[in-house]
Amino acid sequence: MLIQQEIISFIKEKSGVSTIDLSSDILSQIKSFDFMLLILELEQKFNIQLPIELAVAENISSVSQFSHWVEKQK
Amino acid sequence: MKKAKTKNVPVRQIISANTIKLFLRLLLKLSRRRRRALLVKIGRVVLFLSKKTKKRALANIQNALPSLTPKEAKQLAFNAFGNCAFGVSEAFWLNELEPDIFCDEGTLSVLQSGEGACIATMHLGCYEAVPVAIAKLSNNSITLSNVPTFVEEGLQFYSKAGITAINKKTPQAFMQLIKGAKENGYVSLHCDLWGNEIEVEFFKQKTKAPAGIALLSQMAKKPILIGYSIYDSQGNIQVFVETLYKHTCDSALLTEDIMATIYRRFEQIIMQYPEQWYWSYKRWRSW
Repeated sequence: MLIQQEIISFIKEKSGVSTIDLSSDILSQIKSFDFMLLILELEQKFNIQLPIELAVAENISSVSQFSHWVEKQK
Repeated sequence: MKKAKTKNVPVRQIISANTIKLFLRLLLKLSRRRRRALLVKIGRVVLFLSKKTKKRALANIQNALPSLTPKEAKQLAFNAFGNCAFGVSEAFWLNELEPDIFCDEGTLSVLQSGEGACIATMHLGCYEAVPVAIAKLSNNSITLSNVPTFVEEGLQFYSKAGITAINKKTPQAFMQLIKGAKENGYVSLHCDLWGNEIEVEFFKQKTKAPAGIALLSQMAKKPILIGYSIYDSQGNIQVFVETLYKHTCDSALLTEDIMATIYRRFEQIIMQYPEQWYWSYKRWRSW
């Protein structure tokens, strides 16, 4: 849950939106540049490696899917 | 029962597509030398007729190179626009391009290692010659493209030259780019446009730049190279590739620092070949 909270607060900060729809596409909420920043931040903060190429193959797109996928990488 | 929707292609788009097709067919009948002469002239006429573009180019040149007289600035604007017109149009026959490639041994070993790299490129000379050169050296050249919808052949121009082009407009474009970088692709991205991402200094003026190349390199843990192409006096393409950072995953290295280094180098390259850079972008939004 900590990871999901981290992701949500990052999206809130970058998008300026107070309520995040977890089923929405993460790349429609934040710019691709910010998405890369998010990945780097998560990798550093939680000391994990995020094989984002696998997320692409698994068709991960929503905020919720992405959060669960990151959790699994721990 | 509802009538099935038919794809509605605007007439203007059909006319544009057919005009381009016809024009290309005619152009390809000419030798490359004559093609170049014609397109450079067309470019100069287009700039003459486009008041806004001309005004912007002159303002950019005068601000970046204040030592030039108005006459020199005007001459530079027209020469650069003519060269760029040819440079852009060469994207239509990428598979015909045979650039001379120049790089040091270290860079060559990066390009031939098969381990991938992120290449910052620019709108100089033949815009797409860098991915072409990378394809010849690495067999895994990837770039992001923004092909207008009226160009029917779309990304085929790239695939014929051995380049994997990702259409910028597709929803998965960005993820595909990351995947390409992580899977040892050689990703070339134009980085000299304005982008609301990172503040940089460019020709002693503060402006903003796209920083995707730096983040991509940090994420995929790949070196950053700079690649650019120029035309020599005979119209032959020369591509130069150099290593800027072998590693960017050091946490002390900031994205801002990487982009500042890239922009310092871009500035030097433009100063060396001012007649081959595209001066007409809204590059400095405050000017």
